[in-house]
Amino acid sequence: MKDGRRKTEDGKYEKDEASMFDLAIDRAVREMLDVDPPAGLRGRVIARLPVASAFRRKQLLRRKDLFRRKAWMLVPIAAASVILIALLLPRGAPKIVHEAPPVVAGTQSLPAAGPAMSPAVTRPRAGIRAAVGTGRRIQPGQVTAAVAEEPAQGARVAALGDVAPIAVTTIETPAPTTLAGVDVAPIRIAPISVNALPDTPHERQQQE
Amino acid sequence: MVLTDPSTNRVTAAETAQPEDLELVRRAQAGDVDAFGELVERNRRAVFRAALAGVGSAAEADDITQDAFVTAFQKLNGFRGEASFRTWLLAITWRKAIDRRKSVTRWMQRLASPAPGWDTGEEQDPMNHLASREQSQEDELLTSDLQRRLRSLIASLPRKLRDALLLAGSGDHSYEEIGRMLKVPTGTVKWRVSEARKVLRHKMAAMGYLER
Repeated sequence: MKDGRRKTEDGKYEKDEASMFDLAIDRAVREMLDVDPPAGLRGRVIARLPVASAFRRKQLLRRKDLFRRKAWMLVPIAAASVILIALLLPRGAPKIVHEAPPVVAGTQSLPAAGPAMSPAVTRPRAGIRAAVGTGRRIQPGQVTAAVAEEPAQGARVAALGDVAPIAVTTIETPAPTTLAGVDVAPIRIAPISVNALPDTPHERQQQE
Repeated sequence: MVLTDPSTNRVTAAETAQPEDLELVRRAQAGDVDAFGELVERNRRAVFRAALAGVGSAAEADDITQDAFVTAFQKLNGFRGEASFRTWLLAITWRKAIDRRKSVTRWMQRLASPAPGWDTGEEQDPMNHLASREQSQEDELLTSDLQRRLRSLIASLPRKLRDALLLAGSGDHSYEEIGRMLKVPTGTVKWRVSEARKVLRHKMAAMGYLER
């Protein structure tokens, strides 16, 4: 019946006007409602939802929180890797054995004036020498002051020349300044004469 | 799970989509706007057509569709899952459409500026506008005289019959859904659809289109 035909008594199909009419009604109804919703409906609906903005803010905060948590997880990993590198790097580096530079002690006080000073060249202390090249930490205070010098050819540091004593004279206090009576004279202004300028810039240029 | 309608032996789209819809509804109830957006996308066509069947104007149907979705979101926590989300949503849509149809403002607007093609010879119903949409010249040639008259006659049907006929004829809603929307038993919906067809046949016969 749906296709607009009906079975007759002799078994043949013939057009059923009533069914045809039903099909026409269905078609008319479909045509009446055959309008698609305007585009962007989803966006417009979501924009009107009262919690839309609040929810998005919440989601953003949640993401930030997650990132912060992950960052905290990274801190111990980073610390552990730094320690590991600190332990492994010096051992892994090739051992360079070299003579430590001589250390010149500079803590002696200079005489105010007198004979030339002979520098006291000393070898680095055993503790320092042992520390160099092994990566062990040199304790503060082991070296007071050091001047590096190439010791290969046994070069010596030339003695310093005579140092002239520094003489400081007494500073004289300046005499106090006194102000004499101040006279005020009237200012004289000469009359100003202004010549009239030419009319146009072009004329002015020509005149100049 | 695929269910079939015992009366029509037809698989209803709402029932097959229900499990996923419920999951989206739960997420939307927790405040997930994107999940609700997905529900909008899935149901927008059915909701829009239900609204259009109710008011007969695409612009008004669009407004009603938006209102229905916003109301559905606000009342989402009241959704208990007794019916499918789609059925629940369509019931909201239909209420909105009926409210709009009854609103005084709407009638005032219609009276002030009648829609193009308004047939003053017939019952003053906005549905007439839907029936006599502007058509291109080509469409005019292709559309038979029978179709034009039928649309006009459908628009002039009593509202109860017309609503049932349009909702059923759209192909978007099952009889059960229509029954829930109109708040009448399924049998009543079927009777109304049948009665609407009968009335149309009589009218067309009176116009000389059909032999009784």
